[in-house]
Amino acid sequence: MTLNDFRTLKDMIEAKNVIFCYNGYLSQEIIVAVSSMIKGKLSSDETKMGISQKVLYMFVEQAQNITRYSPDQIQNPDQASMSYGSVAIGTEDDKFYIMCSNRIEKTKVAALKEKLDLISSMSPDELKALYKEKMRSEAEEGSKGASVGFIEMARKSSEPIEFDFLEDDETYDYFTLKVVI
Amino acid sequence: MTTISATVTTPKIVLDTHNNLFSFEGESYPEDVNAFFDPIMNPLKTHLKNLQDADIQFDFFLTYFNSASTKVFFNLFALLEEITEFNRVTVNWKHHEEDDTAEEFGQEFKEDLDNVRFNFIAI
Repeated sequence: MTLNDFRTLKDMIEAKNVIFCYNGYLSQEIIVAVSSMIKGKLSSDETKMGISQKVLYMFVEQAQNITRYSPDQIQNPDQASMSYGSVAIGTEDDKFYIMCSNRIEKTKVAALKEKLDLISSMSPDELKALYKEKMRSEAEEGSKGASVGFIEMARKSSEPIEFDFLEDDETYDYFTLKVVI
Repeated sequence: MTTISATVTTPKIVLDTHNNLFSFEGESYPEDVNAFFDPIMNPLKTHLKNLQDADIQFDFFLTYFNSASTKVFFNLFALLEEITEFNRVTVNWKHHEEDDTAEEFGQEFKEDLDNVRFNFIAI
């Protein structure tokens, strides 16, 4: 990368009103540090507390999804595990957007796509009913969270969640998600 | 009385089983929610299930929590509703005055509770 390349990259990020973006290995320690930065930045901007709490919520859910489910992980015996992915937070039209991207095994795409298609088509009342149902049930197999993260993100989002899956290679696709507050 | 100190991703927890006063205060987004909460919640639930004719109070002041933590609290509240058959249970849900996100979470918990006295306290 030349100095100009780097400036072009920086300019593109700034043109999208990005508050924070990260592309690399994420760990719980990094999530904690970035959460602290988000709180400080939004507080200094006098963002309403209800809004900044939602931004923080979306960021942590998305980043923890990467640390839990990204297939590109490094396990060091004496360190917390790290997982590769991308996260961005910014503003457009006076709203916050929070996005994430990570690779996903092709074998897992159909189930996730089905879940997200369903969630993104639901009305607020339907989402609430599904949310309560998931709260009462056991976590889904293979889930390290509570299987309610996507539903809560959809409920807190002011616009329908956007997502897609793009071909990476014969084993993996790229999963990208965007929510707006 | 058991007191578990807060960390950056886990709340301060006070379990006073003698007086049946319990509190959770701080942030809750550990990477592995069950690894953190199971050793705390399992004995707590056993204690609560064995109570009769007791006055039980839970104070919550959670400034941030992730979806997996929400489920832990949801399950606890379901048990609290169950034990109102033999006990009197009060939940004080504290939130920052301007934090409508935390307030909304409290409202959703409250919806499923008919016999738990659920108070909102704006701070």
